[in-house]
Amino acid sequence: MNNTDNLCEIVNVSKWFSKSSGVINKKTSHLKAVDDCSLSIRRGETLGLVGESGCGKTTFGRTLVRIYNPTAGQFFYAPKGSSLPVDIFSLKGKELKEYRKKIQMIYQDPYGSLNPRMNIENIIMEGLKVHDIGETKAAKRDIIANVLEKVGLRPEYMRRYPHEFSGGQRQRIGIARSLVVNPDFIICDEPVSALDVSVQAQVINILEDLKTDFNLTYLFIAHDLSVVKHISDRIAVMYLGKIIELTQTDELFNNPLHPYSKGLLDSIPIPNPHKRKEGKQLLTGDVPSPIDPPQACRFVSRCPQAFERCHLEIPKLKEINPGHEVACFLYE
Amino acid sequence: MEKILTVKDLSISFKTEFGLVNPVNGVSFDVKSNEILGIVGESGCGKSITAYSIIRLLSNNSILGENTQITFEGKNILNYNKNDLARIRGDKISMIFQEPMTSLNPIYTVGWQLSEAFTLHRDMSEEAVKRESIALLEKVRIPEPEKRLKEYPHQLSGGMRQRVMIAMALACSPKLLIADEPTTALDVTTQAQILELINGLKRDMDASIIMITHDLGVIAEMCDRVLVMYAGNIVESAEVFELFDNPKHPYTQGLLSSIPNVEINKREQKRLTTIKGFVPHPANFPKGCRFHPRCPHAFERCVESNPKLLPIKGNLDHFSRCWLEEAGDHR
Amino acid sequence: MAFSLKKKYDDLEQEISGLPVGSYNQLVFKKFLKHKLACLGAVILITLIIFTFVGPLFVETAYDDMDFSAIFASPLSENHFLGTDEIGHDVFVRIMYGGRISLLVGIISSVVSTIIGLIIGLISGFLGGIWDKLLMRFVDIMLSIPLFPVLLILSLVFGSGVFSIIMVLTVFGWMRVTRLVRGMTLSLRESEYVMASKTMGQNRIMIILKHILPNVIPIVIVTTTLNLSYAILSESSLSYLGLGIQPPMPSWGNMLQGSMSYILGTSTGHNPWWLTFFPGFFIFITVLNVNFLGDGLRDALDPKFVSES
Repeated sequence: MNNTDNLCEIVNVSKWFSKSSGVINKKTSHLKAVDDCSLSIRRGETLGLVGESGCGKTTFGRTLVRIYNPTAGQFFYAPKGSSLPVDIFSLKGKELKEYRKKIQMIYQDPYGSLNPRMNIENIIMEGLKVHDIGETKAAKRDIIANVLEKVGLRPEYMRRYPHEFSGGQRQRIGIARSLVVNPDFIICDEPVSALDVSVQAQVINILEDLKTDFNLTYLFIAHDLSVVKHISDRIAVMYLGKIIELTQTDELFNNPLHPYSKGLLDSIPIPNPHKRKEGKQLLTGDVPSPIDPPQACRFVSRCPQAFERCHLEIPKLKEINPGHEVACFLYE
Repeated sequence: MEKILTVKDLSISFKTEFGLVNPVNGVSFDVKSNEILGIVGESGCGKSITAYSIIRLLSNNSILGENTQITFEGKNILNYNKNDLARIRGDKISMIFQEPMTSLNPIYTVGWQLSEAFTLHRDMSEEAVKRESIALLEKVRIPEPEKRLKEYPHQLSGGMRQRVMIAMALACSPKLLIADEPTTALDVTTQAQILELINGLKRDMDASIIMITHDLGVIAEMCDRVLVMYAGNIVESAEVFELFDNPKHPYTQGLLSSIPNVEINKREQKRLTTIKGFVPHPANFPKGCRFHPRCPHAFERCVESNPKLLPIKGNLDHFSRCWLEEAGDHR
Repeated sequence: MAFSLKKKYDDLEQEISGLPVGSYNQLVFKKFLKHKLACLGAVILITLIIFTFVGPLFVETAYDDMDFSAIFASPLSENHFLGTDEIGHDVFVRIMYGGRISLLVGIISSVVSTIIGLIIGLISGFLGGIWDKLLMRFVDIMLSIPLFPVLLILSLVFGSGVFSIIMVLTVFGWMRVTRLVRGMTLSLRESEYVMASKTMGQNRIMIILKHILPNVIPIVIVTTTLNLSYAILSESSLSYLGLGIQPPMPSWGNMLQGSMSYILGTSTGHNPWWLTFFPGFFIFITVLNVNFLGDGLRDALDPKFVSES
């Protein structure tokens, strides 16, 4: 690993879903949800990961926490104070379980991320039990009460059930569940997408506060660009399984290089009627299928600036300006 | 400009196991010809059922208020029987829904579903229906329209399905199109295409559109006038530029300031302001002003009674439901 | 630290209102109570169970006592509340004992087949892969085996009677539960709370026990009640066909069967309608109320009752 500032280095990670069909002439087709993605995440930063549906961002997050088994690649993780980075993908059994405490995830669906049959205390208790945190039951309850307060919920609510809470509160319970094992790195998988606007603001504020109070690092996966702009230090843009641009937030919004990033940013409806989009060039067409994609730039079918090379090779992510990487032949 | 639709004192109640619940109350508005009226609010504010009530798509346990009047093209459509309603639905008034996955019937081809609109409301030969269907698909910019007629919904992407639904809604050149969160389930690039399409159609077809959404960006992009709903009431109503430049109701102000501002740099982003509290359940609307438990400016009068929707000082077209207007307090 | 955090969150909601309060089980119970037919069904079934299991303790007559002085006695005759059959067996007493058999067979076979189905369905659904394929092929094979020939063979081997019938009904009843449980497990496996548990480092067995099983059980309970009605009817049919419970031991099914010879009248000119009516009536009442109970449970367990904001 190159830089000790980096908490993680994700190297050539792919997640393919394969399906075999046919009995006589067996054909295997590969859905390349995440294809050869690499990026580093610095300690203490919030890295935003954006893209539209089918781009693979959720799959990427789930592969990092090994909900899905990676098809290829390595995920190097260097906790503070330790000497050597560890490839999370190579860990098994007890070793893997240790690292589970360090790398946690919060989920999108407030109605599906909490077991409806368990009360809040039990939901949060699970982490403590699995990792043997807290010596007595009372000690565990104290920890739970503490973490509930940190997310702005009264500890008395421990005995209640998920259906007694609103969407925003449930998301906060989900955050508490992850916090209780003292992670360093939290992958936020669309944590506010399913919430109302005013509630989104509450949860975003909590995430920011917790980050400062607990020295967390975030990978923030979302499709809402205004939210991502607000919370992220750097942003990676994904399209059809590949990272096509990666740079600082302001640089991306002020100077997007990849044609897809430009199209994406132009499509955002701005809550300001003086800034209507009349006359703007919008992206046409639909996202092609990620199954067995051809050996070409993934964006070629919709790119207004595609030329010959784009149909023949896949561009690699390269640093064009300091801190600004793009995967596009226009810049090679 | 003439008024296509007038809704007066709309009140919707449902018989539920909690008793009689009244999620929408005292809603009055009109839609002029060739305008896009936006209805914006968060979940539970009643915007969707308001729209559904116009073409009477509400369930059987719904009761409209005694004083409610809905007038379309000068006629009181509350008096219409089933046949009359069926005649205007899909023809003069049509609707597009949020989920393109579930609002198209998966077992019929696109062509069949398009033709349904024609066969129900017009007397046309088969070739004429086919011709018109292809023309419609071209209008909504679906490539290779003849091929699409034979395809099934699952063979199309979400954006395409939404376009088919728009095509179906436009088949008989309606005067009023009700769009209930038409782009919420779509990606942002697809959403931009669909919104541009809807704008173009409004120009070409001289139709009015009621655009229901929770997304203030979509409202700013599309609408001429806006109604802001909260807990079953309209709390603010204004022309779109006026609403965004000069929001008067504390809820509208709270909503606007809780959205991250994508126009300014990350470095300059301030902490988001939030509206404290939560949206009340219709069985439990607060007494007095329905927003007062969450309002940073609430005072005694707000607890006592619900204010009326009245014009603000200095602008007769901008309405706000707030005692602060009367008190002369301008924020 | 705690104080500053508390202040910061003053703007967050501190009250909950309008949403249903109570544990999942409490809510289900409340909802069940609103379903009048289901409650009625539950009451009647409990009464029936008491009648058939406790009733015989209060009666002196045995089920095979023959009262030759009262052959084909009609209901409400002296000493014989529901009449007698061709050899003077008291119908009332036989209904009680027969009910014991029918209900026992039904309950045991449905409960055991549910447990088997649960285990296989959970394993199959959660592990997937080769286990799933093998187990599902096994289910397919079992579903293709015909019921009656196997029962015949089993009765030859184990003798006819309660044990054989319970065996057969169990062995042929678990497949439906398996398929249902497997389907539910497959979808529950994709829920975010299961993913959260996995990400937390929880092991597979605990995930199945803590997260999947409790969410599968409600539907399984409903299916078990429906299986119960199916088992009771099957027992009746099997005994009716001469397999299963043999006289003089009564079951509602074989009582019905025994009455068939007399359905058009006896050689002595009697028309013992009560011999057909009462067993049939009790089977009908039982199955009807089990179905009401199942309906009520299914509605009460319907996840849509949890209001979504």
